Parts: sequence; C-alpha cells; structure tokens
Amino acid sequence: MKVNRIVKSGFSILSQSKLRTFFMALGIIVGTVALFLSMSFGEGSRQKMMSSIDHMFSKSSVFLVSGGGAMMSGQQSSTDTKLTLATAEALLENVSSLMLYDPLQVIGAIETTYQGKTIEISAYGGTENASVVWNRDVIRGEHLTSKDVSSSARVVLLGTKVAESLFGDQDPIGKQIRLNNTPYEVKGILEVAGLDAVHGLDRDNEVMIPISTMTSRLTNIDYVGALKFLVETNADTEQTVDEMTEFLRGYHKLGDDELNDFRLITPVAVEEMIGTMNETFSVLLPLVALIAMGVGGIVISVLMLMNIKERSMEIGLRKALGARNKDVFVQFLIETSSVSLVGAVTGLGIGFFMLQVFTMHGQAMVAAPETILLSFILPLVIGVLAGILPANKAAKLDPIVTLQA
Amino acid sequence: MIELNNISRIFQKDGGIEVKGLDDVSLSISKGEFIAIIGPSGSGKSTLLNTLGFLDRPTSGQYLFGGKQLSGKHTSALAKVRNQEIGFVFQSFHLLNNVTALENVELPLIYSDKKDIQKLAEAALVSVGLEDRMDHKPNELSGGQQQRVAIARALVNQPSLILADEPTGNLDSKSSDEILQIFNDLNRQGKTIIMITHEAEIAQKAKRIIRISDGKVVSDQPSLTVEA
Repeated sequence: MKVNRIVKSGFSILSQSKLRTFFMALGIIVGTVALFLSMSFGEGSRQKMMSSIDHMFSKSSVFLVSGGGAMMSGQQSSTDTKLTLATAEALLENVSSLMLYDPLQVIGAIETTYQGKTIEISAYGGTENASVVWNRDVIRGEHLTSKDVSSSARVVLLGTKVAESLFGDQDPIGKQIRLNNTPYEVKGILEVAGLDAVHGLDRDNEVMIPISTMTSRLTNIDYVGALKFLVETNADTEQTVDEMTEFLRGYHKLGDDELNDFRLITPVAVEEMIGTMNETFSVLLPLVALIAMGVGGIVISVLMLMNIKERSMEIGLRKALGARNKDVFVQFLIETSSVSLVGAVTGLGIGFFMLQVFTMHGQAMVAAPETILLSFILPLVIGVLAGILPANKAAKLDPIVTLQA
Repeated sequence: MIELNNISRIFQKDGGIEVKGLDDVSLSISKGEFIAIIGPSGSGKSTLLNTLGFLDRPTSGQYLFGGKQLSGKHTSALAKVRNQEIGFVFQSFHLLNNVTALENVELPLIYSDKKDIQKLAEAALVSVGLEDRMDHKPNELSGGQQQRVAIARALVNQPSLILADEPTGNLDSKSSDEILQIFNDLNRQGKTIIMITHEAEIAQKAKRIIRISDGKVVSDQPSLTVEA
C-alpha cells in the first residue's frame, strides 16, 4: 500500500520527462531485440539443420565411408581398398542387423541438356532402395527399380529445380534429356529436400540415375565414395558398428597393426559435429547481444544518475517530509526496473514482429520458450542491477544540502 | 514541548577548520508559541531550524521533543518524526513542478499510514483557500498561492510543529501578509510555529523573537505585538 503510493508518486514525475525515459528504455529495447533475434536465429538454423540431418541420417542408420579421410567425403581417399557394391552386399549378408543399403556417389558438373537448354548439375547414383534409405520418394512418375539397376538403364530422376529450369511448365516425365551428351529418359521428379545440412548443396538442383549406369557410363569405375545402411530399428547401433568394423577389417585383410581404411559414421556423431558447427549461432551471436544489453544497462544507470541529480530537490524534499532512505531507494530502484520492464516488453514485441517479417522472407527462426523467458528475465535483472547504484545514491542524499538551493 | 540544553553543532570544513553553527544554545519552547528567529545570514538560524526539524543532528547537547530525547535515534525513526510531528515551509516553496497542487500536498501522506490521502489533501488545500486551484500545477499559480500550497502540505499530516524558513522571503508584501495571516490563524488554533526571517517587521508578527548571532542566542524576548 505504502510502497504503491510512493512508486506511483515517482512515476508521475518520471512520466514528465518522456524523451529521457525513452532513451533509458532504448538500450534495453535494442539489447532485448538483439538477444531475442539472435537466439531465435540460432534455434531456427539448428532446427533446420537437425531436420535436414534427420532426413538424411534417419535414426537407425550407419554411414560407411571409404578411406580414413574426412567424414562425408564423396571422393576417393588415397587408400587402395575401395568400397564397392559387392562390399555392401557382403556386409548385408554377414551383419544380421543391417537391412538395406544405398550408395552415396556424386559426380559434379554434369552437362544436362534439353532442347538446347543446358545446365550444369550434380548427379547421384542410386538403387531401387534409394527412396527408403534416403527417405526421399518421387512426387511424380516413378522411382528407380531393381530392373533399372540390373540393366544399367538410361533413366533419370530430376530434382524439382532441375525440372523447372529445363522444362518450365511442361511435364518432364517420359521426355529425353542428355547427360554429358548421352540421352536419358526422365522417369520421375524427386521430392523437395532443400539444402544439404553438411555441405550446403541444393539437393533439389540434382538428378539421380541408377548407380550401375553411373559406374558404367559416367565414371567407368565400380567403387563408390560412401554407403548408407539402414539398421533394424531395435538393433543396438554401437554393436552393429562393431560387427561391421570386424567384418570389414577381415574383408579388407587388414593386419592388427593397420588402421581402418574406412569410417563408420552414426547419426549421433553427425549431430555432435553439427552442434559444434552451430556454435557460432548459438553462442557468439547471443554473446554480442548480451554485450549490447550490458551497454543498455550502463546507459540506464548513467541516465538515472543524471535524473537523480536533477531531481535532488525532490529527493531532499521527500526526505524532509518523512521518506526514509529505504523509501527513496525503493522508489528509484523500481523506477529503473520499470523502465527496463517496459524496455523488455517493447523489445520482445519488436522482436516477435521482426521474427514474423524474417520468417515470411524465408529465414528459419524459432522463438524457443527459453529464448522468450531469457529475453524477458535478463533485461529485468540488468535493470535492477543498473538501478542499484543510482537508487543508493539517491537514498544517501542529504536533504539539508539539496534543499538549500 | 521543546527543550534545547547546551546544543552545539560543529561543522568540519576542509583543512580541519571547525565552524560552530550552533554554540551552546539552550531554549525552551512551549506548545502554542509563535516564534520568530532573526539574525544575520550565517548566524546559525537555519542550522537551528534544521536541528529542531530533525534534519540535522547536534554535535553535543540535549534535545527533548515532547519530553523525549530523539536525536540519538536511527534516521528511519527520525524520518517518521518529521513526517508526523513537523511541517516544513521553505523560502523557495520547494514544490514539485511536474505535478498538481493536490499531488504536492499528498506528498507527506504517502509516507504516512493514513488512508484516503486525497480527501485529506483536499481539506488542507481548502483550509488555505485554494479549493479552486487543486488541479493547477505550481507554475500556473502565483508566488503567494504556491506558498499556500506549501503550507497546506506542511499541515496535511496534522503536525504539532510548523518550521518555516523565510516563508515570505520570495513574496511581495501583499502575499506576505496573507501568509502571515495564515500562520496567525494556525497559531490561534494551537499550532506551534517557528519561523526564520531577517525582516524585523515580519518578526513582529510573531509573539516571541529570538535573535541569534555567531551560533549563540543573543536575545530572547516577547514581540511588540504581545507587549502592545
């Protein structure tokens, strides 16, 4: 009741200097918006990457990559032992928890032509299992069949962007296009997959042909860069990896002192790697926002100190009329905190608005509950901290001195 | 009501020089008195008033207020005494310019436990003849009206003692007369009033005149008004 009256009385004076109060809030508003947006941006990118990773590295899967080289490398490493489809078949026979596989073999800069229009794109080699293994079906026409693979058929599946660039509004199914001057029949259109989380490649600007066709007509080699295996859902992935390792070492006739000439990658490992890559968004940007908010806190503090200097008569008067030091302290602390509160609420409002605008323009942004909470609590904490010094100064003013003027 | 026994107030200036604001002052003031304190500037008038109003603490001596020694108490306790027992009136009014006359008068009440503070503030403004100026801000009022707002503020918490520091110092003679008339009326209603002034004519409106010089009481006698 009493605090209520004191605070109300302080506000009616604070509200008279609107511009000053606005500038006090401005620092907090900027900090809140920056924190909110950067965290939403980080969360949005993370979720986008994760969903893209989930799509590519569905939960129960293991990647087998040739060589001891960099993870996910599509090119051959310098080791002699190559991964072939025969390796994959042998693994499938010997490791019971493996269900299906599909190769990951890419060739870039394939000249793709239709009726005089030429674009350069990447081609992937796949099998009839591709739709299941990569969780990517066709939206029109049909996917590769085992017959396409066994006969090295000259058929091709187009990404949506390839179909659009070459065919525009026409229906591509059944049409002949040329890949490096060899005719292929368009069999289907691949589901939209967006950007590749790991390499940032546009997965819709690519084509897929049977792996057999690729090795015999485009690469003239029968080995592949990597293979993806689906593991039985209830199988222990770690144990599967161990079994695969043991088999492959025998299959490649590696001695006890020789290192693996292959790598096995699980979704868990990939997520960890992406997590590290994502640190820029999730740590660095909010850190910058925090600094902005800290500066906002200092601005509030300094402006409040000026405010107190200007209002020293008021403060002395309040004390002469019966305000205790505590009453003055509380009044000014609440004034500063309230300005921060207004700044936080305004900042969140602006943040949400900008989030809508960014999202409409295709930027992946997600306001997680903890982002909203932090963007609200932190400015308040900073406001209270920034208010302590000025409020303390106000409480210690000597009424005799301030009332002499 | 008030007993000052051998009160001294010593200020420490830069370089270790000691200045005696009050030097061994002893005074006795009864309830219902109207006292003018006069003396040259720097004589210690204001220090005496600040001491009486619990804004300043004496360096030595005994100050009994209503028979109790309060000067040793904590600042919070003294704030409560100021709030409930003392009304201050200042030369330059010290009104808050951004808020209305009514809100200015409410100011002491917000630090009290009283309820219905708006009604009490309105009544105080009515008692100084400003019933039609309640929603005006100080800069919309004349000097005399502003000082009346300040007096209403000093009265609103029903204090037993009014301390006025040159209350007419910034006013023309007509407004000064109005203010002194209000003090007279208040005194007749039983309020104790202590007023600083440097004008002999103003001092004569009080009943007792205490002259101070160099921190000492040099004379203490009834005014001519009383003698007449």
